[in-house]
Amino acid sequence: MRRWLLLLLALAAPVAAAAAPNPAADRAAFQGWFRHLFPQLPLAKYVDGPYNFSASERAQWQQIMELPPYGFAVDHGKALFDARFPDGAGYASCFPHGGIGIAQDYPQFDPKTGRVVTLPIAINRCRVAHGLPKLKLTTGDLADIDAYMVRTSRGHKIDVVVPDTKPALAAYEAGKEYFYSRRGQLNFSCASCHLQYPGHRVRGDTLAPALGITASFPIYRSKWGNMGTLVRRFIGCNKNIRSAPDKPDSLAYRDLEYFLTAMSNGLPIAGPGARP
Amino acid sequence: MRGAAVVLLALGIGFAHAAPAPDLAAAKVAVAAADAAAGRARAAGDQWMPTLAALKAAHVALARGDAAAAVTAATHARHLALLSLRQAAEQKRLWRNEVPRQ
Ligand code: HEC
Repeated sequence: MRRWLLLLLALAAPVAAAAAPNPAADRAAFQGWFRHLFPQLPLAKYVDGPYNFSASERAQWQQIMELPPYGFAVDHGKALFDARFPDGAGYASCFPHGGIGIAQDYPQFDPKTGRVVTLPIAINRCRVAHGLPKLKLTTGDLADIDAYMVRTSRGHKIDVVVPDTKPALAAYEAGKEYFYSRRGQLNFSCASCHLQYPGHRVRGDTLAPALGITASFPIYRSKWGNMGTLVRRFIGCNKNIRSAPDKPDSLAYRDLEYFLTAMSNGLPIAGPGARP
Repeated sequence: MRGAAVVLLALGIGFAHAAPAPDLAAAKVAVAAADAAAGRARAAGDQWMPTLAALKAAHVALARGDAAAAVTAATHARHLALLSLRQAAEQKRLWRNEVPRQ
């Protein structure tokens, strides 16, 4: 009888272990899924998103990239980044390495607030710390500063750290649950499109694979006619499935960005990007 | 409290069938019930955009005193909110099925 109990416990233990959040194992399975779908596609290529799957879109893109449409945003972002705050400090004072070449380290988990901090949110935190109002998180000046900082990080390998602490793992797990949960009147999850049908066409668009999907942000999107951050794209995708979008600085979107970017660790930053 | 609102709502719909125009009191109850259901959907993290659209239509109709239109839109909003709540509850379990495994 006792032996049976021990056997049951032994069987139960691995199940319990599998249920505990394990970002490294998740990433291996996540990247493995895409390798299985597209055995020919090198990992680093995923950052080109939809352009891996449509020769005509790729040709158009390469033409556009001769004079990248985000060029103005990067220049403007640099000017804003370099300008002094009224107190004499600047954005560089808020970041390691003066804010240059660090985009691959975001989002981060902030143990003090117990929240995930994305790069755009870190830019706003810097402003608030120096007595300035927050900027809109979706487009405009903040997206331009983001574009400049990301541009200085191009080619750096994404390196999102999920500390082995209860609150950090909980944030990661919440982002994971968000990504895989069906929502909205159309009953889709992010995974339904970007994990299950990458490369397929939906209403004239080619679906980007979830692997590397954050690497090109912020993007200049022709349909928008200006720059947009990752959160702006989350909002758009939520609306497309008739799901009321969350607030740009919501915990839901922070955690989602944390999980989604962590799945692309090891892939190069490719932003800012240009999309149709 | 919520039970009472539901009963009142049911009565309100009953009146709507008996007489062409439900009164404003019934419409207010219907809109309040829809508001409450949408609030629960938001708290569950799964609000549908059509729920918000129907809810808005219900409030607009109520504000202009059109009790019949308010009850129709509120009932629709409440049904959508309840569907999204069911979706959210099911996904608490089902989301794991979409996770790739090694
Ligand atoms: C109904 C299918 C669908 C669902 C569900 C969906 N998206 Fe999208 N998503 C698209 C389409 C279409 C595009 C535009 C084409 C493309 O780049 O994939 C897009 C683009 C994106 C992009 C930009 C990709 C790029 O390289 O430009 C990101 C990031 C993104 N979606 C994230 C999400 C997230 C996060 C969710 C869940 C909240 C989600 N999407 C849900 C269809 C979907």
